[in-house]
Formats: sequence, structure tokens, C-alpha cells
Amino acid sequence: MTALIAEWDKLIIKYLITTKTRTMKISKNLLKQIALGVCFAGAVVSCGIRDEDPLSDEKEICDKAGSDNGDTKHDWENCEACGKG
Amino acid sequence: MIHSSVACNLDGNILKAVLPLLYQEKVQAIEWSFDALFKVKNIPEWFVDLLQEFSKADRLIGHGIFFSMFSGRWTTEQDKWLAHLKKVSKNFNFQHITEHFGFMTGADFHKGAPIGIPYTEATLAIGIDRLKRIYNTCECPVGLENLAFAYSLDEVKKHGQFLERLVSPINGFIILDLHNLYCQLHNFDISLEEIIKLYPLDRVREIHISGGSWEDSTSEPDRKVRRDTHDDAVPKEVFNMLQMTISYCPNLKYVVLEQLGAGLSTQQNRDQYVKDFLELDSIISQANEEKKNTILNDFLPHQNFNVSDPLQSEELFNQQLELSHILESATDYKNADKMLRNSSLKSSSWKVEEWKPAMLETAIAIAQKWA
Repeated sequence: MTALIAEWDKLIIKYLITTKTRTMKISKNLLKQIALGVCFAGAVVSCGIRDEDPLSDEKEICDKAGSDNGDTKHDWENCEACGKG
Repeated sequence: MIHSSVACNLDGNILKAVLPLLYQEKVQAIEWSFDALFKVKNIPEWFVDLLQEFSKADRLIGHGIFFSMFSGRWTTEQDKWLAHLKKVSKNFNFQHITEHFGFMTGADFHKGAPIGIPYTEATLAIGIDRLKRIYNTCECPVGLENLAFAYSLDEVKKHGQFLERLVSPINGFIILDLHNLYCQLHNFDISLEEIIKLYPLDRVREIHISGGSWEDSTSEPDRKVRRDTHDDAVPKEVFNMLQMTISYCPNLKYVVLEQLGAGLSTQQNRDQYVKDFLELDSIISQANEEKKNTILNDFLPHQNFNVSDPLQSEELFNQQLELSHILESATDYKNADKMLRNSSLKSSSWKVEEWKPAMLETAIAIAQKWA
């Protein structure tokens, strides 16, 4: 019975969040992944990386951010193209 | 509550434009064209995760492009489209599914833009048949979007009523695309007040706003034709139309900003896109404060439909083939007009004799772009 009530409470909270508030919060981690995916999707970005073939192993170097498109330590926080700089 | 939404597909420019809005938690719902990924072998996990976030929050809506609702003959591609819809409907929780009015003239199933069809009992029956199949597949509310393109003022005036006759049997709804209406206001010299009362506004669950372009007209050199090309900022007039229309749509749930990636290739374009969205959101926020009634219609038929073999019309199919060929091969509107008057469409329900030359020019441009 307690478990059922707990499940019901979760549903109510979910209902309230999605119907009474309009805000959709996307996790920072997912936003970062989207930004990286978009930056390296064949566009010229302000940090200087142009990746014409994102499926290849060839690495392009970002002069400004000091990282490359195969590097998970891309300086996302300071990259203008990713929307944060 | 009305949700400020974006049409978001796997397109680098669209995603770059939307990203700041996602970061600011401004986007309340996403409209995804689930049938537009046929060329993509590996969909990035982050894109699936994005869709799933909105899906889990009951904020994902689906907008089909390539079903070709009113093709006179049922095709294997339409069987595949429904199979694909069934698959994505299992993976994602769509709040509703929509498609476009019209039939596609493109070279293959994945190219083209919709153009109009005659409003007859035969086309009505085919449309209802297709909508029932879509509902049986996705089991969520199903709707149709009004078409920007029309051959004549008579067609413009009858479009809303025909849409209602199509969706009513499934308790379906309408996407009211305000830029599509804006095109018609300009191209046919009709006022918003005159046209909007011809639409069943109580069946509007979604509104689209977008931008377009102006094209020169050989047949009317003194004026330009408004085209629904989705590649520019939203005109101020369309925002005004949104302000005027919103309070008359008691079942409105989503207002969606649409723009193609091709129109978002520069930072300037993307900045304007953000401004357009924030204006949309401002209008929606005000409307939500003033909105007193809860939504009255869930747009579910609350039944499954028994459908046997798909309804078809060989006559309609052959006329569509002939029309597509004429539009794709005509050298200009005069040449097209001459071919039409010597075709099976002459003195038919298509009423080719009443078509406005500038609209025939537009139909040629649409068909030849995708041929």
C-alpha cells in the first residue's frame, strides 16, 4: 500500500511539473553533448575547427581553445560557437 | 496551458539556433519531423536523448512530411511510413501526430512539397481513410496542417471547412499555420477577418509561425507572390496575426516556431531566430495569464477504426500524375495553362480554368524544384 501511495505521489508531482509549470529543464551534460555534436557536425565554428567528415579519425586542431575535435576536453565553456562564450 | 515550441530536427543550423533557448529553459515543447531521417544511418545519441527528455515530460509532438495524404493510389512507401510511425511511437511518447494537406509531386517519396487537390467526396473519403490509418498506428490525437498553396480564391475560402470535414470523423484537430494564411492574405487580397471565420478555430490545437520569401511573378509583374519557404525571420504581420487569433482557439496547446536550417546558416540569422522565439514566448505567456478555460477537447476518437483495403481512386491518381508531369515540364505558366486545357483535368473537379496564373507559376516552381 505504501509503495502504491509513493508511486501515486510521483505521478502527481510529474503531472504538476509538466502541466502547471512550463519550464523544461535540460541537463547541463546533455546540453554539452548537443553543443559538441553540433560544433563538430561539419560547420565552421568560431574556435577554428572545420570538420568536414565527423566520421573520420582525422583530428583537426582548435587553435583558440587548444583542443581538437577528438578530444573530450574541448573547451566548451569558452567556445562562442557552443553558445557559452 | 499553451506551450512555446520549436520545430527541431537533426540539422546543425537548427540545433545551433535552438541551443541557447534550451540552455535558458525557454523551449516548452519540441515538434520533430520523425520521417525526415531516412538518409541518416547513425542518429547521434545526444539527439535521441534530447527527444527522450521532451518525450518523458509529455512535451514531444510529431510532424510528418512525406506521407502524401491525398495521393490517389496507395503505395508501398505509405505502408513503410506507417510502419516507421508505429516504431517511433513505441520509442517516443508523442502527444500528437500531424501531417500536411495535399499530395506530393516530388521525384521520389522523400522529396517534394504538397500542392492542393479538389474538394470532392472522393478526396474527402481518401483523406478520412488515411487519417484513420494514422490514428490506428499511433493511437494519439491526429491533425492536419492547412496548406499555403491554393489555385484560386474559392479554394482559399473552402479550405477551412474541408479540413473540418476531414478531421471530424476521428475527432482530429488542425494545425493553423499563420504564415500559410499570411501567404493567402497577400496572394488573394483577402483580409484576416474574412478568412479566419472560415476556419473551425475550436479544432485548432497547434499554431505554426514562420517566415518565407517574395517571388517575382511573370503573370503579374506589378506584384510579388508570397511563398512559404520557411527560410527567413517571422514577419511582424504574422506576430500580429498570432496576437489576434490566439484568444479564439480554446483548445490551443502548442505554438511552434518553424525555420529551415538553410535559413539559419549565419549567426545573424540565428540571433534573429532567438528574437522571434522570445517574441512568440512573450505572446504565449500573456495568453496563458488571460486563458481561463481549460482545454475542452482531447482530440482522441476513443475508438479504433476498422479499415480494410486502403481507399483509392485511379481517376484521381492519373490526374495527379498528369498534373505533376505538366507542372514539371512546363516552360512557363502559359505553356502549363495550354497543356492543362488539353488534358484530363479540363472541365473537371480540378477547375483548372479558374486557376490564378500567378499560383500556376508558383505550382510550376514548386514542382520543378523537386523534380
